[in-house]
This record gives sequence, structure tokens and C-alpha cells, in this order.
Amino acid sequence: MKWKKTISLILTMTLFTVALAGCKGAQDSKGVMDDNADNRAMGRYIEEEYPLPEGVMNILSMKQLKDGTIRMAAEGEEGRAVWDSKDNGRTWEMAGSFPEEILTESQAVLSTVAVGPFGDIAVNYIDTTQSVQNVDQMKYDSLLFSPGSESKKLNISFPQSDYEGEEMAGGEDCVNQFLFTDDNQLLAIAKDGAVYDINQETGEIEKTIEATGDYITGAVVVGNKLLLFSNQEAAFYDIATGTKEKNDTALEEKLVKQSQQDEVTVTVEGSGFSSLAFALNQEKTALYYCNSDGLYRHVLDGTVCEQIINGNLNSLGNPGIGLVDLAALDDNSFLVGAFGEDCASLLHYYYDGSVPAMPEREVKLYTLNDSPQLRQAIANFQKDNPDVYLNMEVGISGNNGVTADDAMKTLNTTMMAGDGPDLLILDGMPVDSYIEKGMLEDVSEVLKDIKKKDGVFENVAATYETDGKVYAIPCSFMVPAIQGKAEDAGNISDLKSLAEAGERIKNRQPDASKILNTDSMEVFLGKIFQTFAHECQNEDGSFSEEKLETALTQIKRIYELNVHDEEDQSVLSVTEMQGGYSLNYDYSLSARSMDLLMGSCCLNFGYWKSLSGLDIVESVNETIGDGVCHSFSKEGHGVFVPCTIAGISSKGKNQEDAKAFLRYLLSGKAQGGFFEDGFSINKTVFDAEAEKEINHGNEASYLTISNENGETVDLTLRGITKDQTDALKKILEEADTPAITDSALQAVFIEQGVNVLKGTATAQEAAKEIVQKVNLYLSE
Amino acid sequence: MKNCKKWVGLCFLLPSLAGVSVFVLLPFLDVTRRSFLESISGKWVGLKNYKNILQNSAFRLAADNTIRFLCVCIPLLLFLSFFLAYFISKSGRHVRVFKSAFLMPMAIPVASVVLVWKALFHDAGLLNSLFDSLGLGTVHWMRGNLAFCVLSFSYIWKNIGYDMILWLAALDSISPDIYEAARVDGANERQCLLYMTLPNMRPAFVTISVLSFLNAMKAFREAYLVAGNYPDKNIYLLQHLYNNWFLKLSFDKMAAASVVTALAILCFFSILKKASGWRMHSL
Repeated sequence: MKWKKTISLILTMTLFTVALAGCKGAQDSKGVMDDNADNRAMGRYIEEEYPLPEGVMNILSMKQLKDGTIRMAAEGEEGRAVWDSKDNGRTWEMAGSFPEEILTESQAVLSTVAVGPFGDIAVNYIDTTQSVQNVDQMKYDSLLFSPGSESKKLNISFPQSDYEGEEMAGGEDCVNQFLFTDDNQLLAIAKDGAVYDINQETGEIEKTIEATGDYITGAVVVGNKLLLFSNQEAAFYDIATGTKEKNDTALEEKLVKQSQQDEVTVTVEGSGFSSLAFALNQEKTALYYCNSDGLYRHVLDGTVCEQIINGNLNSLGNPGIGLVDLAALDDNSFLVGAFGEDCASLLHYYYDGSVPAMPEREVKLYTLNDSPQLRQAIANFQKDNPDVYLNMEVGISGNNGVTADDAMKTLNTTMMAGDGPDLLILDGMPVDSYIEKGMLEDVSEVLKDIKKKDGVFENVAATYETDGKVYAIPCSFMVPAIQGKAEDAGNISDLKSLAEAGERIKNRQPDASKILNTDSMEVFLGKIFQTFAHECQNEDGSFSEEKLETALTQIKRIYELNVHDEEDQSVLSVTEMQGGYSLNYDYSLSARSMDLLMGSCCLNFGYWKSLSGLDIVESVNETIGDGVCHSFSKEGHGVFVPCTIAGISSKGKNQEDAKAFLRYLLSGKAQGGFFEDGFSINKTVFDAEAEKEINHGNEASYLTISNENGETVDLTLRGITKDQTDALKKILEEADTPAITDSALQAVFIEQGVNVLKGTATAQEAAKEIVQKVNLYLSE
Repeated sequence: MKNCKKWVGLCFLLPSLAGVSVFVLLPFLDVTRRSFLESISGKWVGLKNYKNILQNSAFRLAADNTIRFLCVCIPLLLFLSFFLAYFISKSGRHVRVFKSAFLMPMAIPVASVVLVWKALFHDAGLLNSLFDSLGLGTVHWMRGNLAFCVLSFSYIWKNIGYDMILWLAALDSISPDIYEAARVDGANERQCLLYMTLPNMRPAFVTISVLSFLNAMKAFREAYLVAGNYPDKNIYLLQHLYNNWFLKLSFDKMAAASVVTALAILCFFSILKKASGWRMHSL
């Protein structure tokens, strides 16, 4: 009997130990990734930028030649030229210019450029000096040249193809990519997806390699073999015979299947920017490739692809960077030719064994939705601060079925466990509740710095200010506005005047099917909510049933001005049945003003999002005659929608670095051009952009727009004036009422609004339902 | 020897007790501790959180609805499932077929049940299409008291088979000899049911009630998946409130409400057990 007791006691103790072992205390590492310095992994590739030759704006192709020289074909203000570097890219000397016929962009537009192992350069281009009636009639030519010697035109006659996909848009003589083999043989990947071996003397096709798959996404010459990536596989082909030899499963897994899962099309072009670049090591035993994840090494015939450079720690992770070429240098460093933001860059990666494998300081950033602008800002910040690792976590990745609620529950759990993010992008989150609970840190000090340095739109910056403390700052903002003829849109300031204006137009033009620009019910209601919902609120934040009922009545009046297709309704009801409402509005006023121009609608209801569309809006106003565009302001007060709302978590471990990043996000460096979802709150950025956009009323260009019926309208696109930018700035300054951004309230309003528009509920019933649910929400 | 047996029993109990302690009792103690603290700062606030929740209209509404749901559904479920079990056991034919048929809803995943709900009860759903074709107009199934009825029906439909199986097991455990003796003494069917069957069901009644109660607490899943965080106020249950408080980081209120709910459940079970025990003893 005793042994039974002993066994049960042992089992109990074991269970206790195992269970308690899981309850490990939270780390208090203050943002430092590994406390134990002795155990810290050391060594990583460090990025540095090499200066490009003066005047070079764009790298066309780059290759390490047989003799070790790095040759670069590039273009700049002075034209196109070939540059050589004998010291692995540190300094450059001009080797010669491009041939006269393709020297500048006004003479030729290049399709692809490739540098061969002996320095020859193959180019496929369109001669822009040729006169043709239609763009489709433009002919592509190919040219082979070496600096300092005569150029040779290649009269390649690609076989007639029955392929009619989008890829053929450029014509059959358009080459996607030129490749040189190690013995200088020239290969061309044509638009039909086949690889052709070209005779450099005659231009004749000597051999054809047909790849498996619909189209080729990349190609690398590996000795006497050609590694081809298609949308289906990665396989080696014998260049001599053109036959397929074997598949490379590791590369297939990483570059073909992964891109299929992510629904990303990886394209590799010989010239221009792609998301992938390849290089071989000196011994031709390993293939290197880099993409936004970093740089990988794959031993040929091996089964794995190992990451040797983490893209999150340098410019490779910057979504604004396009890759041109990669070179693996003999000192185990790498040279990447890239194009990003507004000019080319030459990035050098060298191994430094004295730095930690990961930066010691980590800032965790959390956002519900991914943002390329944010990623771009992160990459640029990390470039300036290599000792800080900005770890961005996206709550809703879009491919795992996680909803906003699920993501927020996980976030709240990690925050309460003390392992949460340092910096939060609060769009779509209950900001007020986070402030009330003390989850957000006071960032007034950061705002003060930006105000002092650049100035901010005070009305927007103070959105989340309570008792003199600022808990969150919107990095950008949008302003709802209406555009139309002055007699129609001039006096619109609320829902009633919008409905009345719409009805006046309808009476005048009874045949007009669309008065307001077309939106789905949800988007229409979402825009209405953001613009007018605050007018229905009581002081305590609850909704007035009476005001809501009036608003919903007006909304129905406005909605019924348009004729709605049955097809739209059925699609919408399916969307609703699936429980999905799109709360993402990307309806800029400038993009939708084309509807006004084409006569597809009489009133354009959208958002002022950036200065770059001001010329279109103003030109449309001029073209339609007596057009106006204004916000829904009343007595000098308007509404704005805060975007990219950033806050620092009071539970974060690395608040100092998080604040530094927030400071960077709000600075002119990050805001200038990064944030396209709205106007920057940084006034200096606005002024600088306005200055850039102003063209003092000169006629800049002409646009001809045609609709689906083939009717065309001409638009004279004029440059904007200072008066116009000043008027817009005044609108932005007057916008002092933040739109209600609480997604829970918005969802309730949209749900009930849809019932009213569909006629399944009266405005009174819907208002009652909204008030009841909102009160419940507020009372929680 | 008796003492030694006690220890052996305890040793066998210990592993599961340890699991319950680690995963239920200790976390609950932590929840109780948190109910006296502010959620983020961890500052001691005494009974403030309890005061807040008792004054909170959302909590009162959710608690009312939950109690209403339990009071309506559990007796109804127990009654219906017992009589179903009773008649199946009496009929003696096709018992297996009936068992399987009534257990089917349990095997259907909640997500599928929700889809059926939507297809049936949506404003543009199958039922309304039928009503429309009969000229009866549209009925808003998911609004007002009808929403509560739909939720109750769904709960009973899903759990009736399970409870029926439990009652059948309890009915099978009664010795046929007792019935035989009663019939020899001249008892009719009704008397057998009232004086033989029902009293013998009392031990099973406690177990089935507790299980039904626990399943009733899961009815939230259907309501949540159909109507989201803010359903009609008639089906706004305590779990909706906990879920929303979690999203708003109101862990202090959540902790206080959990303690109050746990105490209420504990009281209910104690009374149920006591009442059942007393009656068993009196038998």
C-alpha cells in the first residue's frame, strides 16, 4: 500500500512543479533584449551607404565583372553613362557614355539593361523620337554596346505568340530581362515567358528554353545552367540543351509558394525596381537573394535558405525601396543597388563581429492594421539609430481570420502581463478608454518639441489633451468636404442643407441617376458618421434620440436621391450577412472629383487628404464652371478625422526610445512624403509641400478622361496658387472638432443606418436602437 | 486502518486537486485581490470597484438578463428532457435512434449553428421569406423579446439531447424490481412516476442541473457570434459585459463582477445541494 502512496505523492509533486514552472515572473529588462551580456550572440551585417557618382539619379544595372571591377549602368541629369569601381563600390570612375541614340530619356525609354561578365551592356528600349499614332504601335529595339566601342543594334525577331495576357501589352519585341552567361552568351526573357538564346552577331534566336508556369518571375545564370523562377516553380535548365534538369525545393518554398500564399507577385526585371535581387558567390556554390525580409544564402543543392541579414534592421525592410541589383563581394560583404523615396542609393553591408546580433535596445510598436508608410518611417529611423530595433507587430494581418476584437484582446493581455508594446498606433482602438484607465503616457513634452521646432496644427494636436496632458497625437488628419457648382454646393453645411441641395438638383435634372457620388451603404454611412455624428451627441457623450432621428431622416432623403442598382443591393446584403462592414475609407476628394467632371455625379462628398490633389480639385472646379469645394464648417468651426494616432504605453519598458521614435514620426523628416493618409500635423511640412506644389497658375498639363461609354472630357490641369494653398490651410485650421473615431459607435450607427436605408426600420426605431446600444456602451 | 484509507483517498485526489488549484483556485484568488485594486496602476481602492459595478446599469441589465435566461431555460430544459427520456425509456423501441437524433445538435459546431440562425432569423432570412409569402409581413426576430426567445430555443434545442441521455442513465439505474413490487401492490403508471421514479431522480437532478447551468453560461457564444458585442438589450448577458470590459481594459470592474458572480453561483449550488440532500435524507 505504501508504494501507491509514494507514487501518488511523487506524481502530485511533479504536476505542481510542472504547473508552477510555467508561471515565470515577468521580465524587467527595460527594453534591453538580453540581460546577460556573456550569453548575447554577437555579430551582424551593418548597413552603410556608399556615395553614388555625382549626378546619378537612377541605377539601371550593376554587375561584378570577371576581373573584379563593379560596373554600373546609370542615368542622371546629364544622361546615361557607365561607371566602374575598382574598390568594391566605394569610388566610381566613368567608363563611358551610353550610345548617342539612347543617351537621354527624351531619346529612348529603357525596358531592360544588363551588364555582362566582360563589361558588355545589352539594352532593350523604345525610341521615343519615332512618330506613331498609338502607344501600342511603338516598337522596341535592342542594342549591345561596350563603353568606348561601337554599339551594335540587335534585330531580334521573337516568334509570333498567341499569349494575350497583360504581359504582352508592350509588344512581342519587348524584352523583360536580358541575361549574360559566364561565357558572355546573351539570353533574353521575352514577354511570352520563354527564354531565348540570342546570336549577338545576327540577332537570330538560336535556342528557346520554355519554362513551366504562366510567366517567369526571375532568372539567374548559375555556371552552365539557368535557374528560372516562374509562378509555379524554381527549376534549373541546361543552357546548352534548353532542357529542364531539376527543381530547387528550398527556393521554391521560400520564393514561389510563400509569394503565392501572400498573394504577392515577385517580379524581376533587368532594369527598374523589383522586390527581389540575386547574386552568386565567387565560387558559384551559393546563391544569395535579397528582398524586404533581408538577405538570404542558399547553398546550391542544399535544402535551406538561411537569413544572414535581417531586413527589419536596415533599409531592406523599407517598403519604399526597390531593388535593382545585388553583388556578393570577395570580402564577404554585399552591395545592393536600390531606388527609394526619390533617388537611387548604393547600400553596402559588411559584417561586424563586435556588435550584438540584435540591437540592444528594442522598441515594440503595435498597430491594428499594417501601414507601408509606418514601415518606411521605421526603416528610416533605424538607419539613423542602428542601436535601436523597432519591432512592429500588426494585429490584423489579413490572412489568419483575426478580427479587431481578437487582436485587441491579445494586445490587452500582453500589456497587462507587462510584455506589451512601447508605442501604440491607436487607430481603431478605444483611445478614450485607454486614456481613462491610465494606459497611455503623457507625451506633451514630445509635442512641445515639435511645436517649438516646426509648429503644428494646434486644433488637431490637442485632440487627446486632458487636464493639460497630451496622451496621444494624430500624426495626420483628413477633412470631410463637399465639391460641386457654387449654386448647388455653396451653402451646404449640414445634412439638411445637403439634402435640400440634392433635391434642388434632382428637380432641375430629373434624369440624373446619381446626385451624390456612388458609395456602398456602409461607406456612405461611415462618411456621414465621421462628418456629422458629433452634432447628435449630448455633452456627456451619449446620443440625442431626437437629433439622431432627424439625422437619419435626412440621410435617407439624401440616399434616395441616387438611383441604386439592384446588383449593388444584393452584394451589400451578402456583405452584411457575413457580418463585415468596411470601416476603411479611402475616398479622397481629388480622386472622386473626376466623377464630377465626367458628370457621373453632381456633388462630390469626400475627404481632403493631401495637397497633391489640390490642383485636380481646383482644375475640375474651373472646368465645370463656378465650381467650389469647402468643408462642412459652421461659424468658423469644422470637423476633422484624426489618423495614425500614436501614443506611448505607460506599461512599456522602453519609453525613452519610443518617445524618440514618436518625435521622429512627427518631424518633418518622417512626415514629408511618408503619410499619404492625410495632411501632416506638422505645419512646416504643409508649408514646404505647398511651396513645392505652387506653380503660380501656369497651365501645366492636359488630361483627357473617358468613361466606360467612350465619352471623353478634357481637363486642363493648372498649377496651384498661393491663394489656393492659403485657403486650404485656413480650412485645415478651422477644423477644430474631431470626428468620432470609436469603431464600436460607428459600427452601431452603420448597422442601424443600413436598416433605415433598406427600409427595414424607421428613422425613429433606428434612433431608439442606436441610443439604447450607445448608452449601454457608455454605461459599461 | 480507516485513517490509512482516508490518506490513500486523499493521495488519489491530490493530482486533480492540484490542477484545479493551479488553474482555477489560485487565479481566482488573484482575481479577488485585483477586485480591490485599480486596473492599471494597481492602487488599493477598497470596495470602490464593487460599488461601481453595483451602480453600473450595464452590469445590472446583464445580470438581470442572465438570471432571467437561467430561470426560464434551465427548468424548461430539465422538464422537457426528463419527459423525453421518460417516454423513450417507456416506449422501449428505437431508443438508439432517438438518442442519436437528439444528440445531433450537440455535435454541430457553434459556428454552424450561428449560420443556421442567421439564415433563419435574419430580417431577410428564410422565416421572413416564408412569412412574406404568406402575407404576414416581416418579423424582427433578433429584436426585443423575440431575440430572447430565439436564444432560449437555441439553448434548449442544443442541450436537450445531452440532458435526455443523463436522465435515461438515471432512469436505467432504478431497479425494475421496485416497479414490479409497486404494480403487485396495485400502483398505476401515474403513481409509479410520482412516488417511485421522481424521488429516485433527485440525486441525478443535482448533477443534471449543474451541468445544464454550466451549458447555459455558454449560450453567450451563439449570441455573440450572431449579434456581436452589442446585441439586443434582451440578450445582453454577463459574458458580453466581461468581453467588452476586457476590450476597454476595465479589469478592475471585471474582477469585482467575477467575484460577485462566483459568490452567487456558489450560493445557488449550495442551496441546490442542501435542498436535495435534505430531501434525500428525509426519504
